[in-house]
Amino acid sequence: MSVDAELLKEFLIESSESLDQLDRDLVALEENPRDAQRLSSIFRTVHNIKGICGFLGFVKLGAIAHSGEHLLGRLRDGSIDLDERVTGALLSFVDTVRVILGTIERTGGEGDGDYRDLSQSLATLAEEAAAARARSGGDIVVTRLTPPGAVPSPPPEPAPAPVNAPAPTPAPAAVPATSAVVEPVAEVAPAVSAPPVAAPPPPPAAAAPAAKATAGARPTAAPVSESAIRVDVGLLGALVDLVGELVLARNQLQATVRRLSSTRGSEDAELLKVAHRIDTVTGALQTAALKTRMQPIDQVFNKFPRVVRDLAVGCGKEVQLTIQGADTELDRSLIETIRDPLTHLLRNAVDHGIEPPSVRIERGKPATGTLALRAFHESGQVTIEITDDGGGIRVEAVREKAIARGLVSAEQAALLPDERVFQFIFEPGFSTAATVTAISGRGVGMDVVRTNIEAIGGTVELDSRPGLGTTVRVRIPLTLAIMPALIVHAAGQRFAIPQAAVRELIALGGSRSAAVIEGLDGAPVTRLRDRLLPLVFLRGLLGLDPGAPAGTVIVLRVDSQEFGLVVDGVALAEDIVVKPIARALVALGVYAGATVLGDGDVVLIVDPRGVAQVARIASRPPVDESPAAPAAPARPRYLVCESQRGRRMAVPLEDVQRLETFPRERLEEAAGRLVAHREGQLLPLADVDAVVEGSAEPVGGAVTAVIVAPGRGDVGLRVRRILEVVEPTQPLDPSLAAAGLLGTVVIDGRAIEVVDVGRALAAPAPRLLSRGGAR
Amino acid sequence: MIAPATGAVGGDGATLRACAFQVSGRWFAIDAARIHEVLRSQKTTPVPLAHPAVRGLLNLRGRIVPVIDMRIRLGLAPAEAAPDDAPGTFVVVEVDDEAFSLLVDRLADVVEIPLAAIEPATTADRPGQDAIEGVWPARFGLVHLLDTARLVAAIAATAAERKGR
Repeated sequence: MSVDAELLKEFLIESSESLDQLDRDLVALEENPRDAQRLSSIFRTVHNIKGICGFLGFVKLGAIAHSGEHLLGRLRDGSIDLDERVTGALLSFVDTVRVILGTIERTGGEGDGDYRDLSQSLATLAEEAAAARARSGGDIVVTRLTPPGAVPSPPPEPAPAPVNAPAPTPAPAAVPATSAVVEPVAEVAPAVSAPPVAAPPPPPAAAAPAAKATAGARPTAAPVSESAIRVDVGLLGALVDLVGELVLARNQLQATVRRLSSTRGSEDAELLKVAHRIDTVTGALQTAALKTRMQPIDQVFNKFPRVVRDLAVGCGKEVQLTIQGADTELDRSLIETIRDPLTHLLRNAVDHGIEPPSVRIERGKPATGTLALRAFHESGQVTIEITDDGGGIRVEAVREKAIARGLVSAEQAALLPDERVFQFIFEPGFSTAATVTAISGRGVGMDVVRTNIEAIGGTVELDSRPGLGTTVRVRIPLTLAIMPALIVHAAGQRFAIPQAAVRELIALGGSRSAAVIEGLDGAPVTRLRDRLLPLVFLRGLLGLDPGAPAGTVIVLRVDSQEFGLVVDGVALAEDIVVKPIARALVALGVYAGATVLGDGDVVLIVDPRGVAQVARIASRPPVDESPAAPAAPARPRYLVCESQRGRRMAVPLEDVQRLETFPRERLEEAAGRLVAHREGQLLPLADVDAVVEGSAEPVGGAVTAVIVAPGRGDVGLRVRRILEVVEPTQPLDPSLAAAGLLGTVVIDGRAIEVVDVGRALAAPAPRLLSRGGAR
Repeated sequence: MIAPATGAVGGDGATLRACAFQVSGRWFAIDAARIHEVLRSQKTTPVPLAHPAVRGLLNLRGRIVPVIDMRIRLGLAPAEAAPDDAPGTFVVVEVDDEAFSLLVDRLADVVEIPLAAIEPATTADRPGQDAIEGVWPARFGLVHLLDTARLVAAIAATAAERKGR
């Protein structure tokens, strides 16, 4: 077969998009069978596929598309009604088309599959349903479906087509999956017994209640091809890389301009202005370039109405799926990674969460369960919530199970807050489900969900109320291309460590700091509060010059296993752009990639998971089991802000008075300081970047400031925005204290510097750009 | 591996367009079609645990490229090492969609090698020379033709082996 390759490629791409749309449309149509517009759109799509098949010479696919089109035509002209069987047949039609397209994509041909049974059953369904309708005056009752295993594979000889109508039988309520043959059809025409049965999609069991899965808040899909173009992903990648280079050049330009203007005086205002403009444009360009990698999470969500429908049918439950925030965007490389974990969570919710209709009615709930899927952006991350209104999980059951499995002692368990207890659900082999079903509940899965989510720097937590339902909250970074990291050094070389795995930092070897102890097996450990923490020396691990056992311990957490990675010191925390490295180097097992720092140097990214594996952390003997210390009373709280340069800084909340924004007109330079006119007085402003780096972004417009009162009068701390108020579980770690910094606190696994507000004014003041440059 | 360059079929037979370079005083050549670009002195970042021939990583306009020190890869260092004042030239080649940079002493012009004149490589007489797939006796000296894929594969093999250690 000689086919224009370009046309074929186009056909495959378009068809796979159309098929996804068909899945959604069919499920939506089942919910609202009178939606003529949607039906027409489905019909058109199938018709198009059929047309192109003829053109490209795909005979089998064409034949199936024809059968599908025929059945859809019957639906469209109103001669049959859409019932669960018809939907099931159409969905399995879509699946089959997808399979054939997959074969074509891989091999260029249609493969040896025999799809005549499907064509036959579609045709039979069209005629039979029409006939039934003719008899019964239009009401088709939901018929029981047969589990795929219960019926021997379709009879060898194809059934003779139209058979005269079976009398519609009132559908019995959910029947056990054992009495398995489709009675109404079988009685009347034995020859037809197989085809309609062969049609339903994968999971069916005895299921009378139809699953209703609708995409609630999603706008009904309309073709929007005019405003979009197809761009090669490789080209976008190249664009993002080039912009990354531009950002580096921008940084170098700024450093040069700063040096020049400090040595040559102030006549370089023009140069400063240009540099500032390049800075602004580069920043905007970077944001835009990164946006090209973003895709709406709908790419994953759009498969879920179908998934939930099939699951619900399979479990004999009624489930209404609502989706919110399908337009929430995240990096396309993450889209595929979250598909499996989310599918698993949905499966759990339908199988274990939502009760069968009879139980729900007994409990005074509506027979149809609600499964809500919600995605939204929150503090630089994407949060996905899966909420069901099912039976929920008793926290005590989890607690008991955790004790019984030796994950925690009874005393410790009693002290743990509920949200910590629910985390045990994500331990390997942990299941509280009373029954094991074919769909889920073998105790595998939730640990895999957590592993997958953590692998991309995310977190997952669960909350549940018995009788009311369960919410699983998945938080993942917006992108893998950029991640917050600690830049550390060891033996004169710098390395980046992803912040997502960092729990806290402790000093090693100093006077009031931790000391290295020999563990039971001779492996080094240190005492961290009440337990022993296994240590891995980065120098030793990488075969570098051993050096003295002093430095900083970075406490890392991988798969609920904590260990300390000893480095010489921490240079800075920075958002880094992750670049892939050669496969041969990934194979070493300890590097996740590389990044380019502001000075143009390439720095390797250490993979915490790889380190744990290479250092065989998991096989080390468990650390001692002294009971957890009771929580300290009244922990201090901090206001977390983002600086102009994107740095996260914490300010002790007790020092904070209020937040204010000062327009450009109220800002002035006086006595070498940036000040703001405020209530007839001058308020000195300090910049949190200057506290850490000794320099700050120049002021070009309005300034947002946290007003603090460090004793001698108010001071404004210039920030870009306020992120949140937090109450860290660990106390302030003063080991990284420096001028203007009290130390660090660990918030969501990230070490954040705490500003010493009393000394913030000692830092250099940010420059105030002239009004001309302040657009 | 050695394919005649397109359009290079001259009167007396096909030729291979190759880039010749020197490492420790010896001549080597690789298929010119494999070469992406040539860079002058570059800052590199060492990769601990990697194959000894991996000199480090360099930043090629945002792409992170491993540098293979050809002296070590070809088993010519340190005994036959040229004086260290030579800044070196980085020849960027592409193998299986991945870029590698070969650090050589000096790059010569592109040469047209008559395929008929290429002699089979003698058995690899020293470690690291497994990538030599032919020898061309040129007027200026003996040129060893290298297979880039094999040059690079040795590094991956050792990496995998080390991981299992």
